[in-house]
Amino acid sequence: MSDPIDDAAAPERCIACGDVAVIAEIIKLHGLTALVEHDGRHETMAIDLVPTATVGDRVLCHAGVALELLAAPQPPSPGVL
Amino acid sequence: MQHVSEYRDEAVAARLAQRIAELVEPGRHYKLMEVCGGHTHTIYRHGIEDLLPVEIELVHGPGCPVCVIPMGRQDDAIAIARRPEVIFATFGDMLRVPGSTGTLLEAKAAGADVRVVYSPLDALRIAHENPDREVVFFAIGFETTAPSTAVTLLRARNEQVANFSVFANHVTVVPAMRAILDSPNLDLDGFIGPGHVSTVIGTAPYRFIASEHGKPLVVSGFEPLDVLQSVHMLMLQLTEGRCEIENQYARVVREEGNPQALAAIAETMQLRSTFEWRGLGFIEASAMELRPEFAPWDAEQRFELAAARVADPKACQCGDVLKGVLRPWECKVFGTACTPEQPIGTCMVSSEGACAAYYNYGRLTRRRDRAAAATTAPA
Repeated sequence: MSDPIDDAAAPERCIACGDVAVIAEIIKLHGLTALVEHDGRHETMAIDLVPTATVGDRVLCHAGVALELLAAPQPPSPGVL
Repeated sequence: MQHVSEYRDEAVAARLAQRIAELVEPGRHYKLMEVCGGHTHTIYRHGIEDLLPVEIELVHGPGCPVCVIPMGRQDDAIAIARRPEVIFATFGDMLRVPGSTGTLLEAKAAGADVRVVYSPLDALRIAHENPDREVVFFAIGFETTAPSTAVTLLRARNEQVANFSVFANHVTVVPAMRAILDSPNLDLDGFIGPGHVSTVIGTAPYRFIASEHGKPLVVSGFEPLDVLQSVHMLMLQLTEGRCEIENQYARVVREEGNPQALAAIAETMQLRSTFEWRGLGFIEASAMELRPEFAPWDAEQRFELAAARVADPKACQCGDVLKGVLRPWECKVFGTACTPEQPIGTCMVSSEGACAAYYNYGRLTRRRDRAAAATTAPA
């Protein structure tokens, strides 16, 4: 791969494109609104579509809405290849 | 960053690339289409093509919602934005998309009240704060973005917000893939399938690609190792003579998708009979409009729109780029008359557009390739 590229230095990503959805952790809940943390930043997200989400859960967020609860990461590793 | 750094491990990438190379059958050429603009972005940004054998060609698909919006719809958006009573809320990506009479950015410079929002819920908040104005949200995107519009519409109805409406341009990915599969010159071996769209719709809608068209598809995440592992999974299928729908992105995508998101979309929107896609033409049942019950929040019902079909500029070859017929650098205005700063076509606007991704990252690689070829060419 090319040298790692600083995310902050990359061109602004396109919100219209759902591919830029981010994974964030819920740190506080108030009704159907959650305060989430992503990469040190805090934002509010609607959790209407993941009603079972609780504090500590990781959710996929896009355009102000949490789209899905996350399963545990399963990156490919040399041992399983 | 958790969920990111573990998917950018260079040692694992090298090992995956080696495994992929071992699967290449001598003399065979493999053509794989990445459907999503996000995959295109990852491929160029992280130099994935440099890791793959030359026998494997990655072709860019139509999965960039900004890229496929036809010029006529952009003209309608600009016409709404120019109305004096309107606050026009849009994702920033749409500001520089050319219409036939300019862009939203130019309309804003000329006095239109155009505001950039991160979420349709922000537009609803603006409506609450400005009860004497008409707030219109420019809804665009695939099934990943449609749920946020749906949630916003449901809240607008529940809160009886009378000065808020949505200009709906949501498109659906499967009909576009079907159009590509039905095209007469199809020359693809498999698909790197949508990631976050599949979070919402699941993997079942792709089954026809394997059963009717005999092409494998692997739903893929967007990190470099995700894409490489998906290529590996596709190559394994092709080597073993299998043709299946597989899910590399299981940490986010479930087979059934998200039923709550699908229900919210179904409650607020319905399929249009047909919709024009830039480059692909009119595709039946490929986009969504608001249901009649949501007419009070439907900008197409509240404002008179031209709804005209407007041809792309003659110099623009976005259509062929979106169909995978042309590579970005093969367009005659790429990087000269058409740049991210002054785009002629939509593929150069969005960072997920094939041309912008290639312009920002890939052209440097290609310049190196050309230089290397020139130094090794016989005199």
